[in-house]
Amino acid sequence: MARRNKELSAEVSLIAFISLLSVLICSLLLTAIWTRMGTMDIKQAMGGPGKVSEKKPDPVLWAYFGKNDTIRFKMENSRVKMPQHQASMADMETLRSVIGALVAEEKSLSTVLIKPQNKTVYEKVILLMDEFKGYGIKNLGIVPL
Amino acid sequence: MINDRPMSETTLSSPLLEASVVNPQAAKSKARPEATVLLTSLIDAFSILVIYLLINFSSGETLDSVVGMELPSANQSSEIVIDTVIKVVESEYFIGDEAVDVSEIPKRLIQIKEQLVSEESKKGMSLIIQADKNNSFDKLNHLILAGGQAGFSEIKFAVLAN
Repeated sequence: MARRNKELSAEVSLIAFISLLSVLICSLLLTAIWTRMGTMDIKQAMGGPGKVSEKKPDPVLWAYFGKNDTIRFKMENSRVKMPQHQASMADMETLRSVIGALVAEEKSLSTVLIKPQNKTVYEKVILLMDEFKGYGIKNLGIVPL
Repeated sequence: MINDRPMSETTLSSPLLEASVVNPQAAKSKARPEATVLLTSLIDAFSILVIYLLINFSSGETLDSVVGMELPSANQSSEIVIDTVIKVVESEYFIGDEAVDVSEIPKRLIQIKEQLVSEESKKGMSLIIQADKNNSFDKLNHLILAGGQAGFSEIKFAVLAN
């Protein structure tokens, strides 16, 4: 009869749960990486000692950096005859439209070679590469000075 | 009233009221005011925080950041796979953590490449260049040349992923 007064407690002790959550939050905050790094990849290997192909070479777009971050585009091995295009890094909208037009004109374009100048700022080179990658160009290369 | 609730054990009574010297109320048993802390909302907030942090938790590899170095940002970046890393800090060059003279870079890269080939390491095909976004290209040019000379077919530029 004395046992009747004792009730079984079905409560979950939240203190331990809160402690666990606090420890988890602290450890996750300490190990969190707030800036996500990535890489912009280029392929520098230009062919190899293979057979001489009779197939027509793939089209290649050259992007030459000029003064005041102007870029001159020249298409090679293209079936379509294209005039040389020019754009400036200062006007990204125009640059994007020029790249878009070039890619649209030559559908099989997959290789772009960028030739910077001595004083070209590294960030501009990456920006241009980023634009090309955005248009689905897989093979990017940088022509050393 | 609150003592009848299932959460009665998790509520806290006010220690200030109990310890008050001027008007001690600890002895008063009737209608004692209680300062309760509802733990449900706290646990909710904690859980949301934990889930958010777990989602953002990156198990991928990352490069050591250099103080004062601002990497260029890019939208179309690939995930980092740590390989041979060359850092350009102002006018100094570091392979890994070791400072290297410009003229010695090709020689060192060839050594690293040969070592990786002999170890049959899966990595070693790419060279990661970590440099400040405001550098001029001539500081990176000889790294690209040296990388090609050493047989690194893929060159990767470290960027901040947008």
